[in-house]
Amino acid sequence: MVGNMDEKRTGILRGVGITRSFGRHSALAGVNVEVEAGRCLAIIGGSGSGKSTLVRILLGLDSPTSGSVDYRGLPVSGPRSAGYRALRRESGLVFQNPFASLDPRWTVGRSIAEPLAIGGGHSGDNSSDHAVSGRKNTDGWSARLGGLFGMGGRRRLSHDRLRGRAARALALTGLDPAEFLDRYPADLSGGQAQRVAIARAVVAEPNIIAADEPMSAIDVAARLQILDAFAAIREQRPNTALIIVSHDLGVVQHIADRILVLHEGLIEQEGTVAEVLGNPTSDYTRQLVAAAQW
Amino acid sequence: MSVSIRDLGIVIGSQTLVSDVDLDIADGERVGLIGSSGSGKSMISKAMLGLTPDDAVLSGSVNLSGVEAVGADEVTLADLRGRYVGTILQDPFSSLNPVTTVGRQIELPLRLHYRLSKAERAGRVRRMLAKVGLDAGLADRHPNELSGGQAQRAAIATALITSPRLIVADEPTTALDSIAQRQIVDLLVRLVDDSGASMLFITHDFSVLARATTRAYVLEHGRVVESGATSDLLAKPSTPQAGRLVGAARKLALE
Amino acid sequence: MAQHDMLPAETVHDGRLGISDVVAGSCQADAVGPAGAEGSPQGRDSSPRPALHTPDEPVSLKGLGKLAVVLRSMWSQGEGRFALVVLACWIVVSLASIVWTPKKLWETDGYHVWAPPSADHLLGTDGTGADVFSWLMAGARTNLLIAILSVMLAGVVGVTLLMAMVSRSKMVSAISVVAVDALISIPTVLIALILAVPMGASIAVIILACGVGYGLNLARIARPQALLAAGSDYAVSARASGASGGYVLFRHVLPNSLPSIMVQLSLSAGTAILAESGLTYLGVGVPSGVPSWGHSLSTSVKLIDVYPLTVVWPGLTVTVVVVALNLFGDVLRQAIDPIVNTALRKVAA
Repeated sequence: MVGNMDEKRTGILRGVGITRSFGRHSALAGVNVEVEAGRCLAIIGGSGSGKSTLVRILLGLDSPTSGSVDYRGLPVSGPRSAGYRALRRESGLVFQNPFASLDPRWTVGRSIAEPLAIGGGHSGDNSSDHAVSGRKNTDGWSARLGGLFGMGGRRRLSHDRLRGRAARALALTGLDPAEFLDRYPADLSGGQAQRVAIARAVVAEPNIIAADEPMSAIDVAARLQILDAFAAIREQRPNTALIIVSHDLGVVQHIADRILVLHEGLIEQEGTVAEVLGNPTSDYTRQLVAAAQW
Repeated sequence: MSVSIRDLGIVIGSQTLVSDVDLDIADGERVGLIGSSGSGKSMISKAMLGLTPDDAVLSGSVNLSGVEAVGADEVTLADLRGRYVGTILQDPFSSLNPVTTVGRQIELPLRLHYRLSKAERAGRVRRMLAKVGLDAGLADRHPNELSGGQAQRAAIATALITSPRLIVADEPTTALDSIAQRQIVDLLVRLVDDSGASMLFITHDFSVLARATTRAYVLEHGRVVESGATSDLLAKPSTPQAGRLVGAARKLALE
Repeated sequence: MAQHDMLPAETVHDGRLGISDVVAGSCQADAVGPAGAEGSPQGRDSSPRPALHTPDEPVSLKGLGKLAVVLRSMWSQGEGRFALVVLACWIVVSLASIVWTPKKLWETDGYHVWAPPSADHLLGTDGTGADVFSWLMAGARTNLLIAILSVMLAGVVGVTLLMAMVSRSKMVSAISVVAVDALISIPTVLIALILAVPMGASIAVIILACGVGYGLNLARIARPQALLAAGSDYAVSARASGASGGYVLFRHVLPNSLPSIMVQLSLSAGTAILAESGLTYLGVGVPSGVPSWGHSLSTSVKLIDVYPLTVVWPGLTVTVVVVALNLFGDVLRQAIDPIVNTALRKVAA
């Protein structure tokens, strides 16, 4: 139905005129964003620039004060909207601090498989819209009860399948499943834990992976491994869109296709990596470029 | 203040965190300590301040201008810490007390270690705020009203208010955004050089180390694997550990 | 519609699972090694798939292994050993008392009242000439029942309220927080006295009063830890994957609040034992004639000046058991928590 409308476009997630205020403070003031399938968008800005808020709004995890978000042509407006529900199955999230984003009392394997256990897993590409249109039943009571008791609704995957897919996702990030699946987060280094978090974000084969400062809590040597993990995802899942939020132009230069510079809730500059790095048009962008230089 | 660490070992339970570390800082020198997380670099700085956990067993010697810190009593250590050594930690929001105003926190080391009139203290705090580039009006604010960069400037002011002879900066830029990182490093270098103090700068990032220090030690698994002039380490690291750290930092910086 | 949606999707998964054959192949090869080396029952699994997964059989073995690790780490501490021994004795004595006590409970000897300990009466006799030791043995099972049922009720009441208090629904959480704060100000004894009006003196009064009272305490004390888990990134992450509020509460919030719940519940068990003594003394607890430690205490306490020994035995029993329960909770919390207990983490691996 609605899903067919934008089939030809490459932009799968769009935010138009997004404004978000917290009391008197305005975190975002009319931002337009378009995330394209198979591309990597870097949202760059300092602390307080509104970049994390923007990502949460794009993924439907926060509501804009005004403006609209749509995913594959479906409106994302509150938990009942079609776009929101589709995003829950078809997006993955990576946080800044991996130790805060992994349940300390769950094993790595269980954490990675969680999106599958909850949703049953997404079919993994964006050509078929049956996954969007015909899903009402899985949101019914039986699925909710199933979810409550960890049975993952109707499309329940067996323990073995969950584990197998968790292993594959983990292997994609460069960690050996045989060694890491049964560990607890307490026995991981920061870089390893972040790769586990990435494996969880990618396990359900989402259309969009959003990472909010995925490298700033990790030491420099391990950041390269995180970048490698993202690069591997882009190679193996060429249709996956990647949104990487960072304060550092240096860390995204190798992975991003486009850069969006955000400053005090407004877009300062937007363009390809070469455009932004080669020709910073605003004062703030110039500062960012200078700060990332050796 | 000069620092001379010889044969330092730190063991907690069955775990050896630091072993055979020799490290020297000359008067007025800015020295770096670089390694990945878990390499033991913070533990060394804690040993210098006598702040290692109670169950840590220290061996060897940490000599701060003639005062031995390993096995020193609490009175000596407390005097050393506040008066002669200033410390700056990674997260300014957890190193600043959230219920006290910024001005009172900057003032605290003065109250603890020196007998000064209220007006004298206020004057010093005002001058210190100007030095770290903070508006005088911020003295009456609470830490949660500051940005990360401002809070770290306040933490630097607190560390430097007693004009310490040694600054220990433990990953002071890691929690900040890239623009604030540059500003804080440059500020710290300027203030340390102006005051003639020595500095031990701890980081995992060679691009920060390159700006902050003239000489550095590379640490891995609690041991020093390489040391030398920072520029030499950057140009031709001779160990794979140093090479990896330099390579990663270069790759993540813009040309 | 549902089937149409479901079936193709399942098969589609199979087709697209492979990230790449190289990656999948290598990780499977890695996994086979250790599984075979352990000589686990996986070897008998004739499934053609090289097993990355652990079949159900070893899971239960793993469960047993975990239990062994938990018990061993409890036993390795002095407090834990004391608690385990006392609690084991308590249970054994309770069970034994059903079939055997040294003397019949109602076998009284008018010529030997308030007798000191002797070979015939191990701990002496009380004011009716009944054997104190036998009554304490029989009392053990009443108190065990009270402790278990109070803790279960406190657990149900407490966890329900806790989940309501950290619920994402602002109305539910606000109402439950106010309700808990208001109800917690009513003393447990008062609840018992009110309940005793319609119910009379009965074990149910103790269980209801303790269960509700301690449930309220549990909810309030575990709330900070639960709020932390409810607001954590892993909870956000689960919700971002489409998890319901109930899923997050029961899969993340509850397990992560378990340490403080465990401690609070074992404290509750101890306090329930103490409350039994107090309420029975007040005459609203265990009805007269039913053996319990509180009963033994209250019948002998009136003559404490003259015959202190008969009070000492039940008093000592209650004290030792309460101390054991308090220690038990603390030791158990550390033993079952994978964050604290490194040995437990290794069993999984």
